[in-house]
Amino acid sequence: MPLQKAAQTDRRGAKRRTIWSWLILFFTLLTLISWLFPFWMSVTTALKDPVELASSSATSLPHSLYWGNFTRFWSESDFPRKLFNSILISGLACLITVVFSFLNAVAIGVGRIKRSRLVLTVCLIAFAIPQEAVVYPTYKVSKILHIYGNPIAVIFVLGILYSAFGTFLLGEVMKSFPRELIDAAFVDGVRIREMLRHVIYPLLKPTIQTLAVMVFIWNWNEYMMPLILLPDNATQTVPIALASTYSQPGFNVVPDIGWGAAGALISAAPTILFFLLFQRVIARGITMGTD
Amino acid sequence: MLKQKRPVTTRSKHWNNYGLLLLPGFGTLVLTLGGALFWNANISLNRWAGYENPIWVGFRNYRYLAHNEEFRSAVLHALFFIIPFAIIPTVLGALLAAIIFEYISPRFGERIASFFRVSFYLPQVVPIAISGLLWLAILGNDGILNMALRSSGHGSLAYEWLDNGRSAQLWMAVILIWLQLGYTTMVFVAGMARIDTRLYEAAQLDGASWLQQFRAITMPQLRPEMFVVLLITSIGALKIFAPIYWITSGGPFGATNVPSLYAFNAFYGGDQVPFGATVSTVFAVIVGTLAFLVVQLQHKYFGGDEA
Repeated sequence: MPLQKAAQTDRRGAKRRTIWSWLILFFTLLTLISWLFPFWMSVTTALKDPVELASSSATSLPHSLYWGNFTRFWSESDFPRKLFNSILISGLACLITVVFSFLNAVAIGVGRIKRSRLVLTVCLIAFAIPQEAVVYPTYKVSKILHIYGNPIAVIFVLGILYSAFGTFLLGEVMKSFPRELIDAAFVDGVRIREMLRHVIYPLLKPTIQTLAVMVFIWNWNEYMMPLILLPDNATQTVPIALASTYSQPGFNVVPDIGWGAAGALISAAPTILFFLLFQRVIARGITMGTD
Repeated sequence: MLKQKRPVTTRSKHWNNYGLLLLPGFGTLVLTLGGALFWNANISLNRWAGYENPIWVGFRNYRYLAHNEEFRSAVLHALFFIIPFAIIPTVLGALLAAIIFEYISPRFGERIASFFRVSFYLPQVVPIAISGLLWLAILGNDGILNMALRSSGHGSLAYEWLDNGRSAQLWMAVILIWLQLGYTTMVFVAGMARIDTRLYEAAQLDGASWLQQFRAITMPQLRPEMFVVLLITSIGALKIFAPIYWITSGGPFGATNVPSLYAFNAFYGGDQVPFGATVSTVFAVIVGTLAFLVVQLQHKYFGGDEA
């Protein structure tokens, strides 16, 4: 929103480019290159064959493009299945979050229920509380309910946990809606279901999109809940699959750098793609709490 | 349409049990999260290892925790990580946002500015399990940094970057700045788009330089964004888990250990579950209280409707 406005009306007006401005652009670019260096380096590493990897300097370009690291990671990690698991879990958990958050926000924004501030405060605290504090009981309950190892457990837990954030976001936006609009709809005798569909939902749609995109990425990057609740290799998600390239997390040894780099790139590709597709929507969401 | 305004009380004629809408979402949240926290706290009052029956020990785990040197240093590390995960990214992010939005954008166009903004955000998007792997490949003993140093004839500078406590802490700090800068920059760029341009025009008429404008206009105007960003990133620093877990796993010898990881390791081993429950309960109370104070402060300083 603010970004688009700035884009349309170059408000500060075009300015002359001096030596100084080129220098500043150059240094910003230099900073950016160093920022993206880990990604670039993983590209060059992943494309080298094992012999070249052992002999050449790490920052050098590969002599010829070697795709073996990629194909090996793809098949050995059973990547298509992991991709499917990640899409399923992130998508369904995201759906739960959006539906629950929407209902909560309607109660707060349309119903103007008493103690709505209490609800929002509880949601913010719930969002801030570290996952470790609930991870063990969650594991126990999933065993009692016989859904330990079933993606449903992860979907449900993540969907619920992030609905705290969703309620907070949608609730805040809802509170800024013109009161008259909702009252007018009531006076005209519009049914609640129709009002939700034709008045509230269209107004909330941009925020809901933002929420969905952000929560999808968070779910995708989630590791602790899938790690604990999905012991079976066949149900695990992409980030967990990548863990197999570490000899053991935390022993800071990557046994096979070429393989690890290729795995990192393949695993990062879906999120990067998703981000580039929706970057405007995400930018809107990141700034939503602040203006 | 609506000609004569009827009293709002007509609302009560219609369906008015909006509280019921809270049941599926908010109700489940309170029930599961509250239940899990309560259960967790309950476990922390017991003692058991493996499969024997739990023995009620009251607050003994907490007394033990209070004198535990490992936990104390983990808390200190989390507090230290506020600097690279909250304070430095906030300062650098404001600067970078100003360069991108106020300097580069008017001179080189919105497209280039947008390219910078999006590219710096990339570390935020990539799963940390993945970027952690990249950093390990750089910093490992036979990693890319050391290989580059050796092949360029500076082999004496090669170092066991992650095997030395102080060095691992500093590299973790670097990685945390790398992770966080894109987020703060994104927020500040949006904040700057909101500032009234007339302020800048007036300043330019008075002959103020770009740096003077940044100090006198941009920084004060960005105060609400500063507040929100600092709080969110500080809570993030206290809760920090993933980057540490994937890169140093708290090592070497606990030099980068943090409370979240400390609790996680106690759980994951399976033989120290009550102790893990103790650590995570204490930690949840601390973070929860902080979040509560934040809401109250925000409510007080930024008006009732925003909190």
